[in-house]
Amino acid sequence: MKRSLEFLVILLLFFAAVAYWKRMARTGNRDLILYLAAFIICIYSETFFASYKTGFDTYNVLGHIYKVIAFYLIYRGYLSPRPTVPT
Amino acid sequence: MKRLGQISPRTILAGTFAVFLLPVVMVGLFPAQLDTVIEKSTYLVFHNVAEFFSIMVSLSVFSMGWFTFEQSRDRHALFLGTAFLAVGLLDFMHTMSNAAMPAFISPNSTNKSTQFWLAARLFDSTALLASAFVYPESKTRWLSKKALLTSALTATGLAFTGIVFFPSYLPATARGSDSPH
Repeated sequence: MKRSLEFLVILLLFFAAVAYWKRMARTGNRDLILYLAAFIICIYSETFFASYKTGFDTYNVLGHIYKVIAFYLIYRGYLSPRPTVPT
Repeated sequence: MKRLGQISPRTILAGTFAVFLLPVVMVGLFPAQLDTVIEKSTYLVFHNVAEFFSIMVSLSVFSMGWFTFEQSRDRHALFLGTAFLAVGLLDFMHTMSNAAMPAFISPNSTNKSTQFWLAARLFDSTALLASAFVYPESKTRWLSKKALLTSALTATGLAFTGIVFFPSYLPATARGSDSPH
C-alpha cells in the first residue's frame, strides 16, 4: 500500500510537470522552470522512499536532502517576479 | 533567473535530471562506502533540520500568498499559498511523529510518521498539479480565501484525526520496524 501511494505521488508530480511545461510554453513565463526542476527532484526523492530497504540509510538521507532542495526551488519560484499582465 | 536566461528550458531540465541522478549512480557503484545505515540519534538531528527547513518554506509561502492577496489579487499565489499551509502543518506532524521522538499526542511509530508523510505528499502533489490550471486572474467561487482555507484546514484536520486517533482504520505503511521517514 505504501509503495502504491508513493507511485501515485510520483504520477501526480509527473502530470504536474507536464502541465507546468505546457503553461510555460503558453505564457512564456520562464520562471516556471524552477517549479519544473523541483518536480523532477521531488520525483527522485519519492523514488528513494518507495525503494529503501532498511531504515536510517543513505537513501532516506538522500530523499530528505532532495526534498530540501526541491522546497527551496519552489520557494524561489514562488518569490520570482510575477507578470503584471494577465497570463 | 538572469544567469539561466540564456539556457533553454530543455537543457536546464535535462541538466537537473542528470545532476540529481549522479548521487544515485554513485551510491549504486560504491555501496560499500556510501550505502550505510546511520545511527538513530544522528539521523534524528538531520531529519529534524531537513524537515524544519521545508516546514519554514511552506509556512512562508502561505503567509506571502495569504497576506499579499488584497494587493496582488493573484489567485495562483493564493491557491498555492493556502495549499502550503496544509503541507507545512502535515510535515510538522510528520516530524513530531518520528519513531525516535517522544510521543506526539498518541504513541509514535514508523507507521504514524509515514502516514503523515504520505498525507503531506499526496496533498502537495495534488495541489501542485491543480495549481497548473489556476491563473492569477482566475475567478471561481472555490478560489476564495474562505473556501481555500476551509479546504486546507479540513484536509489537515481529517489527516490529523485519522492518523492520531484512528490509525487502525488507515492502511499500514511501515515495512520495517525502524524505517524513519
